[in-house]
Amino acid sequence: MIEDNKASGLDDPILVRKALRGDRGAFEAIIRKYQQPMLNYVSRMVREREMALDVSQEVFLRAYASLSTYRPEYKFSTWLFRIASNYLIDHWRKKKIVTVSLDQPVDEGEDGCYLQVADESASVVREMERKELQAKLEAAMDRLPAQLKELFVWRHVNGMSYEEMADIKKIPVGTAKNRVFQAKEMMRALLEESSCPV
Amino acid sequence: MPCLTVHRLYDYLEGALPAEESAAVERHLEGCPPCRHALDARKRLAEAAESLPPFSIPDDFAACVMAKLPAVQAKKLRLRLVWAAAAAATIVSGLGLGVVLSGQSVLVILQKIGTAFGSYLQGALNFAAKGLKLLALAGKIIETVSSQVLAGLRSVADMIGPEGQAVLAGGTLVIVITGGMLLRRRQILSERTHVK
Repeated sequence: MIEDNKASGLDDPILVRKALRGDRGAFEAIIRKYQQPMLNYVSRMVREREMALDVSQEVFLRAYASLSTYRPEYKFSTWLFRIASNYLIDHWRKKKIVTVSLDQPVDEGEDGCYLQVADESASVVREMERKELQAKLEAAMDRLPAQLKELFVWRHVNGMSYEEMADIKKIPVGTAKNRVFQAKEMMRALLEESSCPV
Repeated sequence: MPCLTVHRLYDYLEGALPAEESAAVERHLEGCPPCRHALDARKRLAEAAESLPPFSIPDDFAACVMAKLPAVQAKKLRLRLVWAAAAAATIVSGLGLGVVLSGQSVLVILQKIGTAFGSYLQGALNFAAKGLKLLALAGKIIETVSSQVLAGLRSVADMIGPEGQAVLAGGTLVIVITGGMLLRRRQILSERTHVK
Protein backbone atom coordinates (compact mmCIF):
# COMPACT_ATOMS: atom_id res chain seq x y z
CA MET A 1 0.00 0.00 0.00
CA ILE A 2 1.00 3.63 -0.47
CA GLU A 3 1.37 4.13 3.31
CA ASP A 4 4.09 1.50 3.41
CA ASN A 5 6.23 3.28 0.89
CA LYS A 6 8.79 5.72 2.27
CA ALA A 7 8.40 8.01 -0.73
CA SER A 8 4.61 8.17 -0.53
CA GLY A 9 4.49 10.95 2.04
CA LEU A 10 6.35 13.34 -0.25
CA ASP A 11 4.79 16.06 -2.39
CA ASP A 12 4.20 15.31 -6.05
CA PRO A 13 6.90 17.69 -7.40
CA ILE A 14 9.48 16.06 -5.08
CA LEU A 15 8.41 12.59 -6.19
CA VAL A 16 8.66 13.69 -9.81
CA ARG A 17 12.15 15.14 -9.27
CA LYS A 18 13.28 11.91 -7.60
CA ALA A 19 11.74 9.82 -10.38
CA LEU A 20 13.56 11.92 -12.97
CA ARG A 21 16.83 11.18 -11.17
CA GLY A 22 16.13 7.48 -11.66
CA ASP A 23 14.40 6.70 -8.33
CA ARG A 24 11.89 4.08 -9.44
CA GLY A 25 10.37 3.90 -5.95
CA ALA A 26 9.28 7.52 -6.29
CA PHE A 27 7.39 6.77 -9.49
CA GLU A 28 5.83 3.71 -7.91
CA ALA A 29 4.61 5.97 -5.08
CA ILE A 30 3.00 8.23 -7.73
CA ILE A 31 1.25 5.24 -9.29
CA ARG A 32 -0.04 4.03 -5.92
CA LYS A 33 -1.27 7.50 -5.07
CA TYR A 34 -3.22 8.00 -8.31
CA GLN A 35 -4.20 4.47 -9.38
CA GLN A 36 -7.58 4.58 -7.59
CA PRO A 37 -8.85 7.93 -8.97
CA MET A 38 -7.39 7.06 -12.38
CA LEU A 39 -9.11 3.69 -12.55
CA ASN A 40 -12.38 5.08 -11.17
CA TYR A 41 -12.31 7.51 -14.09
CA VAL A 42 -11.01 5.26 -16.86
CA SER A 43 -13.24 2.32 -15.92
CA ARG A 44 -16.32 4.52 -16.30
CA MET A 45 -15.07 5.76 -19.64
CA VAL A 46 -14.24 2.41 -21.26
CA ARG A 47 -16.51 0.12 -19.20
CA GLU A 48 -14.51 -3.08 -19.76
CA ARG A 49 -12.39 -4.05 -16.79
CA GLU A 50 -9.39 -5.36 -18.72
CA MET A 51 -9.48 -2.42 -21.09
CA ALA A 52 -9.60 -0.01 -18.13
CA LEU A 53 -6.53 -1.65 -16.62
CA ASP A 54 -4.67 -1.54 -19.96
CA VAL A 55 -5.57 2.09 -20.60
CA SER A 56 -4.60 3.17 -17.08
CA GLN A 57 -1.31 1.31 -17.37
CA GLU A 58 -0.60 3.06 -20.67
CA VAL A 59 -1.46 6.44 -19.11
CA PHE A 60 1.10 5.90 -16.34
CA LEU A 61 3.71 4.75 -18.87
CA ARG A 62 3.08 7.86 -20.97
CA ALA A 63 3.32 10.02 -17.87
CA TYR A 64 6.68 8.42 -17.05
CA ALA A 65 7.94 8.96 -20.58
CA SER A 66 7.07 12.67 -20.50
CA LEU A 67 7.79 13.31 -16.82
CA SER A 68 10.43 15.90 -17.72
CA THR A 69 7.72 18.09 -19.28
CA TYR A 70 5.76 18.35 -16.00
CA ARG A 71 6.11 21.79 -14.42
CA PRO A 72 5.87 21.78 -10.62
CA GLU A 73 3.91 25.05 -10.47
CA TYR A 74 0.87 23.12 -11.75
CA LYS A 75 -1.07 20.39 -9.99
CA PHE A 76 0.29 16.95 -10.84
CA SER A 77 -3.20 15.42 -10.90
CA THR A 78 -4.27 17.97 -13.55
CA TRP A 79 -1.28 17.08 -15.70
CA LEU A 80 -1.86 13.32 -15.25
CA PHE A 81 -5.59 13.46 -15.99
CA ARG A 82 -4.90 15.55 -19.09
CA ILE A 83 -2.68 12.74 -20.37
CA ALA A 84 -5.46 10.25 -19.60
CA SER A 85 -8.11 12.38 -21.27
CA ASN A 86 -6.01 12.87 -24.41
CA TYR A 87 -5.26 9.16 -24.51
CA LEU A 88 -8.97 8.35 -24.33
CA ILE A 89 -9.75 10.85 -27.11
CA ASP A 90 -7.21 9.03 -29.32
CA HIS A 91 -8.75 5.74 -28.26
CA TRP A 92 -12.24 6.89 -29.26
CA ARG A 93 -10.98 8.31 -32.55
CA LYS A 94 -9.43 4.97 -33.40
CA LYS A 95 -12.65 3.21 -32.44
CA LYS A 96 -14.60 5.86 -34.38
CA ILE A 97 -17.03 6.48 -31.55
CA VAL A 98 -19.56 9.13 -32.52
CA THR A 99 -19.68 12.13 -30.24
CA VAL A 100 -22.25 14.91 -30.15
CA SER A 101 -21.70 18.61 -30.38
CA LEU A 102 -21.24 20.28 -27.03
CA ASP A 103 -21.99 23.76 -28.24
CA GLN A 104 -25.66 23.68 -27.34
CA PRO A 105 -26.49 24.86 -23.84
CA VAL A 106 -28.67 22.83 -21.51
CA ASP A 107 -32.10 22.76 -23.08
CA GLU A 108 -34.08 25.02 -20.85
CA GLY A 109 -37.14 25.39 -23.09
CA GLU A 110 -38.79 28.62 -24.12
CA ASP A 111 -39.34 29.81 -20.59
CA GLY A 112 -35.95 29.00 -19.21
CA CYS A 113 -36.88 25.44 -18.26
CA TYR A 114 -39.09 25.87 -15.25
CA LEU A 115 -39.50 22.59 -13.56
CA GLN A 116 -43.12 22.08 -12.60
CA VAL A 117 -44.08 19.78 -15.47
CA ALA A 118 -40.94 17.68 -15.92
CA ASP A 119 -40.61 16.59 -12.35
CA GLU A 120 -44.12 15.43 -11.44
CA SER A 121 -42.90 11.85 -11.46
CA ALA A 122 -39.82 12.46 -9.33
CA SER A 123 -41.38 11.27 -6.09
CA VAL A 124 -42.01 7.81 -7.59
CA VAL A 125 -38.40 6.77 -7.02
CA ARG A 126 -38.16 7.77 -3.39
CA GLU A 127 -38.23 4.10 -2.33
CA MET A 128 -35.84 2.86 -4.98
CA GLU A 129 -32.89 0.98 -3.58
CA ARG A 130 -29.56 2.77 -4.00
CA LYS A 131 -27.93 -0.22 -5.62
CA GLU A 132 -30.63 -0.47 -8.23
CA LEU A 133 -30.28 3.21 -8.92
CA GLN A 134 -26.52 2.87 -9.16
CA ALA A 135 -26.82 0.06 -11.70
CA LYS A 136 -29.20 2.13 -13.80
CA LEU A 137 -26.95 5.10 -13.36
CA GLU A 138 -23.96 3.19 -14.73
CA ALA A 139 -26.07 2.08 -17.68
CA ALA A 140 -27.29 5.63 -18.31
CA MET A 141 -23.73 6.93 -18.05
CA ASP A 142 -22.74 4.61 -20.86
CA ARG A 143 -25.21 6.35 -23.12
CA LEU A 144 -23.84 9.81 -22.51
CA PRO A 145 -21.60 11.39 -25.14
CA ALA A 146 -17.99 10.73 -24.13
CA GLN A 147 -17.10 14.36 -23.43
CA LEU A 148 -20.09 14.85 -21.16
CA LYS A 149 -19.54 11.54 -19.41
CA GLU A 150 -15.92 12.47 -18.74
CA LEU A 151 -16.85 15.68 -16.94
CA PHE A 152 -19.71 13.99 -15.07
CA VAL A 153 -17.35 11.29 -13.81
CA TRP A 154 -14.69 13.81 -12.79
CA ARG A 155 -17.24 15.85 -10.89
CA HIS A 156 -19.29 13.15 -9.21
CA VAL A 157 -16.99 10.14 -9.03
CA ASN A 158 -13.59 11.81 -8.68
CA GLY A 159 -14.93 14.83 -6.80
CA MET A 160 -12.97 17.34 -8.88
CA SER A 161 -13.65 21.06 -8.76
CA TYR A 162 -14.91 22.86 -11.87
CA GLU A 163 -11.64 24.82 -11.89
CA GLU A 164 -9.56 21.65 -12.05
CA MET A 165 -11.73 20.17 -14.81
CA ALA A 166 -11.43 23.42 -16.75
CA ASP A 167 -7.63 23.27 -16.35
CA ILE A 168 -7.44 19.70 -17.60
CA LYS A 169 -9.63 20.33 -20.64
CA LYS A 170 -8.31 23.88 -21.19
CA ILE A 171 -11.84 25.29 -21.31
CA PRO A 172 -13.48 28.12 -19.33
CA VAL A 173 -14.85 27.19 -15.89
CA GLY A 174 -18.36 28.19 -17.00
CA THR A 175 -18.17 25.76 -19.91
CA ALA A 176 -17.08 22.94 -17.61
CA LYS A 177 -19.97 23.72 -15.31
CA ASN A 178 -22.48 23.84 -18.18
CA ARG A 179 -21.29 20.51 -19.51
CA VAL A 180 -21.72 18.87 -16.12
CA PHE A 181 -25.25 20.30 -15.84
CA GLN A 182 -25.95 19.12 -19.39
CA ALA A 183 -24.69 15.63 -18.51
CA LYS A 184 -26.86 15.48 -15.41
CA GLU A 185 -29.98 16.56 -17.23
CA MET A 186 -29.29 14.03 -19.96
CA MET A 187 -28.77 11.34 -17.32
CA ARG A 188 -32.08 12.22 -15.73
CA ALA A 189 -33.82 11.97 -19.06
CA LEU A 190 -32.18 8.61 -19.76
CA LEU A 191 -33.15 7.30 -16.32
CA GLU A 192 -36.71 8.42 -16.88
CA GLU A 193 -36.71 6.58 -20.21
CA SER A 194 -35.55 3.43 -18.46
CA SER A 195 -38.48 3.67 -16.05
CA CYS A 196 -36.23 5.00 -13.35
CA PRO A 197 -37.34 8.59 -13.12
CA VAL A 198 -35.20 10.57 -10.72
CA MET B 1 -40.32 34.45 -7.09
CA PRO B 2 -40.88 32.36 -10.28
CA CYS B 3 -40.07 28.67 -10.33
CA LEU B 4 -36.40 27.71 -10.40
CA THR B 5 -34.43 27.15 -13.59
CA VAL B 6 -32.19 24.10 -13.92
CA HIS B 7 -29.05 26.18 -13.55
CA ARG B 8 -30.34 27.95 -10.48
CA LEU B 9 -31.29 24.64 -8.93
CA TYR B 10 -27.84 23.16 -9.51
CA ASP B 11 -26.17 26.31 -8.23
CA TYR B 12 -28.27 26.06 -5.08
CA LEU B 13 -27.45 22.36 -4.65
CA GLU B 14 -23.73 23.01 -5.02
CA GLY B 15 -23.79 25.92 -2.62
CA ALA B 16 -22.72 28.31 -5.36
CA LEU B 17 -25.39 30.94 -4.64
CA PRO B 18 -24.80 33.94 -2.38
CA ALA B 19 -26.47 33.64 1.06
CA GLU B 20 -29.27 36.04 0.16
CA GLU B 21 -30.20 34.23 -3.07
CA SER B 22 -29.91 30.90 -1.34
CA ALA B 23 -32.39 32.04 1.32
CA ALA B 24 -34.77 33.23 -1.40
CA VAL B 25 -34.56 29.81 -3.10
CA GLU B 26 -35.29 28.11 0.21
CA ARG B 27 -38.34 30.33 0.75
CA HIS B 28 -39.59 29.43 -2.74
CA LEU B 29 -38.99 25.74 -2.19
CA GLU B 30 -41.12 25.77 0.96
CA GLY B 31 -44.16 26.81 -1.02
CA CYS B 32 -43.50 25.00 -4.33
CA PRO B 33 -43.78 21.17 -4.27
CA PRO B 34 -42.78 20.70 -7.97
CA CYS B 35 -39.52 22.61 -7.44
CA ARG B 36 -38.95 20.65 -4.23
CA HIS B 37 -39.39 17.39 -6.11
CA ALA B 38 -37.10 18.61 -8.84
CA LEU B 39 -34.48 19.43 -6.24
CA ASP B 40 -34.85 16.03 -4.55
CA ALA B 41 -34.48 14.24 -7.86
CA ARG B 42 -31.26 16.05 -8.72
CA LYS B 43 -29.94 15.58 -5.22
CA ARG B 44 -30.55 11.83 -5.43
CA LEU B 45 -28.84 11.61 -8.80
CA ALA B 46 -25.75 13.36 -7.45
CA GLU B 47 -25.74 11.24 -4.27
CA ALA B 48 -26.09 8.02 -6.24
CA ALA B 49 -23.24 9.02 -8.55
CA GLU B 50 -21.03 9.95 -5.61
CA SER B 51 -21.70 6.63 -3.90
CA LEU B 52 -20.77 4.50 -6.91
CA PRO B 53 -18.41 1.75 -5.74
CA PRO B 54 -14.69 2.38 -6.46
CA PHE B 55 -12.94 0.29 -9.10
CA SER B 56 -11.41 -2.79 -7.52
CA ILE B 57 -7.71 -2.58 -8.36
CA PRO B 58 -5.61 -5.76 -8.57
CA ASP B 59 -2.87 -5.81 -5.92
CA ASP B 60 -0.15 -6.06 -8.53
CA PHE B 61 -1.31 -3.15 -10.70
CA ALA B 62 1.53 -0.80 -9.69
CA ALA B 63 4.08 -3.62 -9.94
CA CYS B 64 2.84 -4.44 -13.47
CA VAL B 65 3.27 -0.80 -14.57
CA MET B 66 6.72 -0.67 -12.97
CA ALA B 67 7.75 -3.85 -14.79
CA LYS B 68 6.90 -2.19 -18.09
CA LEU B 69 8.81 1.03 -17.42
CA PRO B 70 11.82 1.49 -19.66
CA ALA B 71 14.93 0.59 -17.68
CA VAL B 72 16.46 4.07 -17.52
CA GLN B 73 19.50 3.10 -15.49
CA ALA B 74 20.30 0.14 -17.71
CA LYS B 75 19.92 2.40 -20.72
CA LYS B 76 22.40 4.92 -19.26
CA LEU B 77 24.89 2.14 -18.51
CA ARG B 78 24.54 0.81 -22.04
CA LEU B 79 25.18 4.31 -23.39
CA ARG B 80 28.36 4.64 -21.31
CA LEU B 81 29.58 1.25 -22.55
CA VAL B 82 28.96 2.33 -26.12
CA TRP B 83 31.02 5.50 -25.59
CA ALA B 84 33.86 3.51 -23.98
CA ALA B 85 33.83 1.01 -26.83
CA ALA B 86 33.87 3.88 -29.37
CA ALA B 87 36.84 5.48 -27.62
CA ALA B 88 38.73 2.17 -27.51
CA ALA B 89 37.96 1.55 -31.19
CA THR B 90 39.26 5.03 -32.09
CA ILE B 91 42.55 4.44 -30.23
CA VAL B 92 43.06 1.01 -31.78
CA SER B 93 42.24 2.22 -35.29
CA GLY B 94 44.53 5.27 -34.76
CA LEU B 95 47.36 2.95 -33.77
CA GLY B 96 46.62 0.69 -36.74
CA LEU B 97 46.68 3.67 -39.07
CA GLY B 98 49.99 4.79 -37.51
CA VAL B 99 51.49 1.36 -38.11
CA VAL B 100 50.33 1.33 -41.75
CA LEU B 101 51.45 4.89 -42.54
CA SER B 102 54.78 4.92 -40.72
CA GLY B 103 55.68 1.29 -41.25
CA GLN B 104 56.83 1.10 -37.60
CA SER B 105 55.75 -1.39 -34.97
CA VAL B 106 53.00 -0.65 -32.43
CA LEU B 107 55.60 -0.62 -29.62
CA VAL B 108 57.68 2.06 -31.34
CA ILE B 109 54.61 4.20 -31.94
CA LEU B 110 53.51 3.81 -28.31
CA GLN B 111 57.05 4.74 -27.20
CA LYS B 112 56.94 7.88 -29.39
CA ILE B 113 53.55 8.85 -28.00
CA GLY B 114 54.94 8.35 -24.47
CA THR B 115 58.00 10.51 -25.24
CA ALA B 116 55.82 13.27 -26.74
CA PHE B 117 53.46 13.14 -23.75
CA GLY B 118 56.48 13.27 -21.38
CA SER B 119 57.92 16.34 -23.08
CA TYR B 120 54.54 18.07 -22.89
CA LEU B 121 54.34 17.20 -19.20
CA GLN B 122 57.87 18.50 -18.61
CA GLY B 123 57.00 21.78 -20.40
CA ALA B 124 53.91 22.19 -18.23
CA LEU B 125 55.92 21.59 -15.04
CA ASN B 126 58.56 24.17 -16.11
CA PHE B 127 55.81 26.68 -16.77
CA ALA B 128 54.28 26.07 -13.32
CA ALA B 129 57.73 26.51 -11.65
CA LYS B 130 58.27 29.84 -13.44
CA GLY B 131 54.83 31.00 -12.28
CA LEU B 132 55.69 30.17 -8.67
CA LYS B 133 58.98 32.13 -8.94
CA LEU B 134 57.07 35.15 -10.26
CA LEU B 135 54.61 34.93 -7.36
CA ALA B 136 57.48 34.86 -4.84
CA LEU B 137 59.05 37.94 -6.48
CA ALA B 138 55.70 39.81 -6.37
CA GLY B 139 55.42 38.96 -2.65
CA LYS B 140 58.87 40.45 -1.95
CA ILE B 141 57.97 43.68 -3.84
CA ILE B 142 54.67 44.06 -1.90
CA GLU B 143 56.49 43.52 1.42
CA THR B 144 59.11 46.23 0.61
CA VAL B 145 56.49 48.75 -0.58
CA SER B 146 54.19 48.19 2.43
CA SER B 147 57.09 48.59 4.94
CA GLN B 148 58.05 51.89 3.28
CA VAL B 149 54.39 53.11 3.33
CA LEU B 150 54.12 52.24 7.04
CA ALA B 151 57.39 54.10 7.80
CA GLY B 152 56.03 57.16 5.91
CA LEU B 153 52.77 57.03 7.88
CA ARG B 154 54.67 56.83 11.18
CA SER B 155 56.71 59.95 10.31
CA VAL B 156 53.52 61.82 9.23
CA ALA B 157 51.85 60.87 12.55
CA ASP B 158 54.86 62.18 14.49
CA MET B 159 54.71 65.44 12.49
CA ILE B 160 50.96 66.19 13.00
CA GLY B 161 50.86 65.32 16.71
CA PRO B 162 47.95 63.75 18.71
CA GLU B 163 45.33 66.41 17.70
CA GLY B 164 46.08 65.99 14.02
CA GLN B 165 45.87 62.18 14.41
CA ALA B 166 42.41 62.52 16.00
CA VAL B 167 41.18 64.77 13.14
CA LEU B 168 42.58 62.36 10.54
CA ALA B 169 40.92 59.35 12.25
CA GLY B 170 37.58 61.18 12.45
CA GLY B 171 37.75 62.22 8.78
CA THR B 172 38.57 58.67 7.72
CA LEU B 173 35.60 57.35 9.74
CA VAL B 174 33.24 59.86 8.08
CA ILE B 175 34.51 58.92 4.60
CA VAL B 176 34.07 55.17 5.33
CA ILE B 177 30.52 55.59 6.69
CA THR B 178 29.44 57.85 3.76
CA GLY B 179 30.94 55.41 1.26
CA GLY B 180 29.13 52.48 2.90
CA MET B 181 25.78 54.31 2.79
CA LEU B 182 26.24 55.20 -0.87
CA LEU B 183 27.06 51.63 -1.74
CA ARG B 184 23.98 50.35 0.15
CA ARG B 185 21.75 52.88 -1.63
CA ARG B 186 23.10 51.76 -4.98
CA GLN B 187 22.46 48.12 -4.08
CA ILE B 188 18.83 48.86 -3.09
CA LEU B 189 18.23 50.75 -6.33
CA SER B 190 19.70 47.89 -8.30
CA GLU B 191 17.44 45.34 -6.48
CA ARG B 192 14.35 47.47 -7.24
CA THR B 193 15.30 47.57 -10.92
CA HIS B 194 15.64 43.82 -10.96
CA VAL B 195 12.25 43.34 -9.35
CA LYS B 196 10.63 45.43 -12.06
